[in-house]
Amino acid sequence: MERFRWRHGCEEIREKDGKKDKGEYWHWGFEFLTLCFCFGSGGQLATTPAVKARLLSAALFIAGGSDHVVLVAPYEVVEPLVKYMAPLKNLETEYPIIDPSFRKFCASHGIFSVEDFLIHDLYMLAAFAEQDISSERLKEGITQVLSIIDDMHQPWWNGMELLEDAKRNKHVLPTGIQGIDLLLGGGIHIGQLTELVGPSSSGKTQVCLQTASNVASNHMVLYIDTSNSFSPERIAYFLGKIIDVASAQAKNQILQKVMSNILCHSVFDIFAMFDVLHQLESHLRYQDAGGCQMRLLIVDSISLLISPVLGSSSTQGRALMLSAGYLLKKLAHQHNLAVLVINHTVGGEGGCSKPALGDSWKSIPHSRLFLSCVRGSNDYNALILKHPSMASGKAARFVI
Amino acid sequence: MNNSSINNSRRNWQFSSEEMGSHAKSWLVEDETAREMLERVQTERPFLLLPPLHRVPIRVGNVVELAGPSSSSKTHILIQAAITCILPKQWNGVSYGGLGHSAMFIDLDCRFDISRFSELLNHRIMEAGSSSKIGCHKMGSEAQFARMKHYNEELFASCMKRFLYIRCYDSSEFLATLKTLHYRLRKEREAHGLNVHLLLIDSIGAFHWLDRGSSSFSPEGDNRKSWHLQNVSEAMVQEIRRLLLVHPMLVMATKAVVLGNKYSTNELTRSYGKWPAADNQYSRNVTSTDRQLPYREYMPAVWQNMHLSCRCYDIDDDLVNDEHPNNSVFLLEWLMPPANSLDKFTVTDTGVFILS
Repeated sequence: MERFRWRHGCEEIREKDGKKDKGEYWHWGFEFLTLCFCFGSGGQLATTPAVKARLLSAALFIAGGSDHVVLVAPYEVVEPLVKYMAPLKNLETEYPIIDPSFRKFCASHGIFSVEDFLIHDLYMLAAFAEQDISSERLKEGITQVLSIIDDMHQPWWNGMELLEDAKRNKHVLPTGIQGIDLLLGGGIHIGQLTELVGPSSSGKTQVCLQTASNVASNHMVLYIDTSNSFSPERIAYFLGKIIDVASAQAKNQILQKVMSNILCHSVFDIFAMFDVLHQLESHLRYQDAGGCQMRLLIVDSISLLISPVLGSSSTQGRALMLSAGYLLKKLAHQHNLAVLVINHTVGGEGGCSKPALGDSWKSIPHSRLFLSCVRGSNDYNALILKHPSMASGKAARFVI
Repeated sequence: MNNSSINNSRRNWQFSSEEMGSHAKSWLVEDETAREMLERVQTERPFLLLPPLHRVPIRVGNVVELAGPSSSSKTHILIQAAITCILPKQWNGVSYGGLGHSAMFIDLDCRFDISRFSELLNHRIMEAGSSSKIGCHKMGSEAQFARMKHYNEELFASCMKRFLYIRCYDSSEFLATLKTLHYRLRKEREAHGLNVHLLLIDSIGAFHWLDRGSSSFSPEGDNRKSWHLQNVSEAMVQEIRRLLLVHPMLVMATKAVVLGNKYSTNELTRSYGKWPAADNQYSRNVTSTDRQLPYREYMPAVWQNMHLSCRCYDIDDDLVNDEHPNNSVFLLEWLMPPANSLDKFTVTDTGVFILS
């Protein structure tokens, strides 16, 4: 076994249109220790978390001979690896039925990890196991793996349980803007992703700031800012209108407290946003139930983060966009957040504008609102493009 | 000499199968008892005529795909089908016209709204109740009204318990769900006596781009299958096929497509109604002429060969709708088996209504 030598592995991702993307990993193997670093192309972690996970699993297999492996990778990459993509050997301590003979049987059919079981025909495998000498042990092993797979998916709910959860946790957050609240039947929903789309200066950021200030009185708000549009002065202005206290000092105190409920992160590319969201996820998972809970997540604006990657490489860009969308929806549902994202418009056919990010994005948000400013006045118009319970085409005017 | 060797091998095989038979314990894929098989084969397989899919009689064991651009009421059709499935045929003297079986909903889009679902279920219950004999009596006494409300709530609760839901955030979760579905169905049947008749999948192509973006690594050995779009789709189709062999169900799946240039995918022009009446010929241009699909098919061949398919889309009609003035009109076209005409329908809170 070669010692003290860095080995470089490289996987080439070949795309349909002939473009190539490279994923690289470095590993240093000793008898009992392997260090593994994982990179995307261009030396940066430039791929979706799923691709990073695959790169790492490829590296792990090569390092399979060691007793200990040290992984250096972001948390969201390591988590699925540990159980599902790592070699079956890792499961032996916890599930003794997965012994070397079982692993040898699986290897003869091209199955090396729990994830490989997912794309193989388990009935055929069982039929092969049937013909083996130790058939019941093998079948017990397959049953054991199936129960591990049963943990891989979300739990099944029935209608009553879902409804209970919706009534208890998924309330409506009023935005504080009368026209919009009336249009949406109370405000934006917790557990859903709402998109505000419109041409420039159509009031999108103002709506977000107003909503943030309205929600911050009772809950925490996370504002992900991509274009330096977050303005504490505006927040203070909106709060000043709501807070109804006589003395200036008391007012100031309340203002301080409420503004400390709004967290603002500046991000300038999509990978930084993924980082922020993953940190948020682990923070929310381990936070205690009492105290001030986070209920609103605003991304201003998501199109600025996604458009650069969408143009360059066709499949990776769309995969990144959809991963971001699913991550936001997962956060909304599992941690009871309302997510508000801003999108801009681009020119469409016939000179009329249409929302950016294309057709694949259309099925991501739960509701889509089109904002525009009314010429010659301070009013704005909001039009429903899509909503789970309101008819599309309904419009309303509002002022900020 | 050949004959005797064949006889020998047959005898050997018989001996070895007896040996294996005596070692049989709980298997992964167990044979059914005769009773179970009879039950399975004799499950009622009525033809389901769900509007707006009434033109083709679908029954348990079929796979139907509803394709259409976004906001063309595909999910709504699925929800109405689920409600028809979970409502009983009749209950407490009122006929609801349902099937009284369970329905399973696999949400790959993760956009399902349970409050809306319960609203629609309540509407159907109220509507059936009000049009029956009980409703005709004057609701004079408070007690009668309260009793009616109580019955409705009981019915609502029992229907909602028959609706099973799961969400999947990526293909691994979806495949894991499909692989363990067999056990889940058996458990439901043993524990609650529920028979699942309907499997709804919202947006079968939801993870298409995510899987395409996944790379095709194949380290370690030639026979290892890589996590590739092709393999994932094949595994998915295979699981559904096997499931249908053992648990006869009707599978309905939606698929989001992008229609071609002739059809404006810009909802803004649709919503503002900027299309002049003359441009209604757009709706006729979009139908598939010469079996040429106006949209690009992205699902792999294994899926395409497996199902019946129909397409629905939204048109902005200038036709005046007397009974349903505020609702959009949708068009549905059967692609397989092919039909020559289009069905017009509209969706309301109480169901889907055919217009022509």
